[in-house]
Amino acid sequence: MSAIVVQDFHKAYDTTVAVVGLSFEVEPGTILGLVGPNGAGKTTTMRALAGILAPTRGKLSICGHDLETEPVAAKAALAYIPDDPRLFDQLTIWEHMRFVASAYHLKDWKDHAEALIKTFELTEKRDSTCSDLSRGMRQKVAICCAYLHDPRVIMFDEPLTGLDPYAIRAIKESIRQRASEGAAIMISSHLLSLIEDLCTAILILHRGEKVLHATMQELRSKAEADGKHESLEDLFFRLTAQPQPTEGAAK
Amino acid sequence: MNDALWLLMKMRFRAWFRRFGKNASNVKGALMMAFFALMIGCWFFGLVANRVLNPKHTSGADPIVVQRFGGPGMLAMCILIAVTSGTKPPMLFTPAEIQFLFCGPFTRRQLLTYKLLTQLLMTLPFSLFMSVVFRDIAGSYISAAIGAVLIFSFLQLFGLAVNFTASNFSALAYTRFRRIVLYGILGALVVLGVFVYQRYFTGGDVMQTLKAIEAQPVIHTLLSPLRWYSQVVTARSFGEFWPPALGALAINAGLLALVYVLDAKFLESVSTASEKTYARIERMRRGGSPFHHAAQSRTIRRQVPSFGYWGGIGPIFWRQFVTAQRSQKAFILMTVVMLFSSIGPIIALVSRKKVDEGVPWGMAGTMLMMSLFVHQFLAFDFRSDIDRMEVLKTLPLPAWRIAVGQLLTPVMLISLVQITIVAVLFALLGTIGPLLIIVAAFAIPFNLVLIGLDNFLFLLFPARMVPTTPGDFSHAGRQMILFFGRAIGMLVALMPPLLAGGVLYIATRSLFAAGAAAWLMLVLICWLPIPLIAWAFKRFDVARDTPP
Repeated sequence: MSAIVVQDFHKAYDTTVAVVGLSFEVEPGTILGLVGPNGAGKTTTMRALAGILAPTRGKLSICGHDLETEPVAAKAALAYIPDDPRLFDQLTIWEHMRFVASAYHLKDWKDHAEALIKTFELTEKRDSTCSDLSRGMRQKVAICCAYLHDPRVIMFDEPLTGLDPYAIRAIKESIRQRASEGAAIMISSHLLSLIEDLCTAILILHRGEKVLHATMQELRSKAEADGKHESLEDLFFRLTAQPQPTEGAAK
Repeated sequence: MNDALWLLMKMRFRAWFRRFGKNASNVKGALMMAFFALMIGCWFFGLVANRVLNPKHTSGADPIVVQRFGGPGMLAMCILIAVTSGTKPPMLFTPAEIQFLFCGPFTRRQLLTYKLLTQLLMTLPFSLFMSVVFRDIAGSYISAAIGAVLIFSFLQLFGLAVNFTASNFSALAYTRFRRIVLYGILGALVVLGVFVYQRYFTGGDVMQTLKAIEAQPVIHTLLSPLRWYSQVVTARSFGEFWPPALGALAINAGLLALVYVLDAKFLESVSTASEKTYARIERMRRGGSPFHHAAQSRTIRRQVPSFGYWGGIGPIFWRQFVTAQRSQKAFILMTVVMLFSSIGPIIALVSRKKVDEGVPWGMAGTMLMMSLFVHQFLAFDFRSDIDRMEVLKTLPLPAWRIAVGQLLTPVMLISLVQITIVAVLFALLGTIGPLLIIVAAFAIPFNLVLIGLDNFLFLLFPARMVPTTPGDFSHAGRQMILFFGRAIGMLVALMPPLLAGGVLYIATRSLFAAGAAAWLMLVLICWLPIPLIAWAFKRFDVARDTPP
């Protein structure tokens, strides 16, 4: 059973159409890179999958639970980390963990929470209020909260913004580990190098429509078969019809 | 309600108190909080002492009048809520609540219960406060407090019920439905107004007219249940209290049931509206006045041409001017407030009553003094640049030129509005003359002193215009200190012109000579804030002084 199923997803805001007829599936253990230019519909798709936005048309399901008819069961299986994580400013890191543990009915969660906090080097700040944390630390807290209930679907929107190299490495490793344990992971990012490095599949959106959905292996095989050495960046620009910067402009 | 949501409420309540401790942990914050507490304490103590020492004293407010106006007042609020329900979200969730609760395993009804309970808890301290303030018109402290809780809950639930009913229609049907309802209400009000005017209006007796309106069967039926709320507040015995209290409670319970039955899919609309609202609050915190960002984002077609370099002052003036030019709501609001200050002469003019000779002088003085109250609307200076201080500090310009460039926009614009209003009013009153020239001459130096002083105080005690958290007492204390500081500063600054004018008038008995002396002294003094601001700007440490 696919962890994420999106069927004929449309989303319109008044006269603006954000996503048009998008369909795709993500299997457990897959790390899907969601890429596209600004306004392509990436965040809208993720927010709809997180249950924040209602689709104008189409069906979305998480681990077999329809978000429309079984929203609580679907949400219990997922975690969403937005690009700008918003925390309760006056609560401490540990209080955030307490709340998440209570929300997802977790038992014996404290050791797991301590381990997560240690992994992301937040132990010293455990009892600090979140208003005192830097952007990167807030991102780490959001990730700790997301990981605490061991979700089967994890969605990241620009996960590396504001993080130091140690945290970047920790997050990349944790993503690979979670995927190897069977979680389906979706990463939306403009950093094509991150997608190339981390993802096992890619979905390119342009103006709300799907222009490519393939595994990285399929892309490599196709490139080999065609005798081309096209990078992900070349492919992205070709598919989204953005002119590449000329040498002079780059200078 | 879900256990996790109870836990969240409990932790946030505790965190609110933790915030006080944090604010008081530094000397400045503690002093400001203490000042606020002292001011509120003095006021509250005075109120309570007055009650204890003089129990028979009343403010003259008649409970019967309160009961009579209470019902129509509630009806007016309901109409206002219904009319504006499409433009406001039914409730607001913080960005953190959206991230953790909307994506979390909670049902819509659980989230609704959480928000309603939070709002109810927030009305409790306010209701207790109101019970003291409105003790004169209330039957007792308890009836006032319970009445206030019932009224706030009713308005909240009524707004939610209207909004959820509306959202259960499709967008088109809702628009049509609302339009039909609104036109119906407006039409009924017009017909009623004409009918009442023709039949009952007897020489301006408001109470008699109101009685006549209330006697109409439809209005009487609508007002009867709404009167229960004011009857709860004014009840003087348990016998008077319990029937309307039970009635009001039943209405609130009915509205609550309706809200749950409707079970509107509010998550998307509320999250979108909440995000917009919090983004606006965030912008306000970065940019100062709440009026700067009232205009919606749009494509700019009219470009303001560059003002020239002027030794570096021009570009800074131009930037602030462009921002001001795109904040029309601030202008409109300021102009309305200023016009309101001269409402008396305007009414006299409209009703063609004879205008006293002293009126133009009074208007001119009032218009100048209004700067004290309206200059916050046009804070297009350092006050709106708290998060741009780094950029200003890196400019290759001496501090005094930056200060002049920053002050020019609010000084020029407020002066322009004052002079224009005075000119128009004077033209209507038929007394355009030397007085207008006096206003024009005094406006710019007066505003320069006032706004310069405010900027100087701001750079010494920087803070955001919008408090970080609701109930931030150190922020309120700071605002009070600034208000007193501004008043004292203005007194000191205006003393030399007043003295110069007074001395010359005594010596020469010439108003012209006295005015000219006062003006000259003001022109000399008005530049003093510039070096002070430049000094404060130089000592402003971005890392230390930028408020959180």
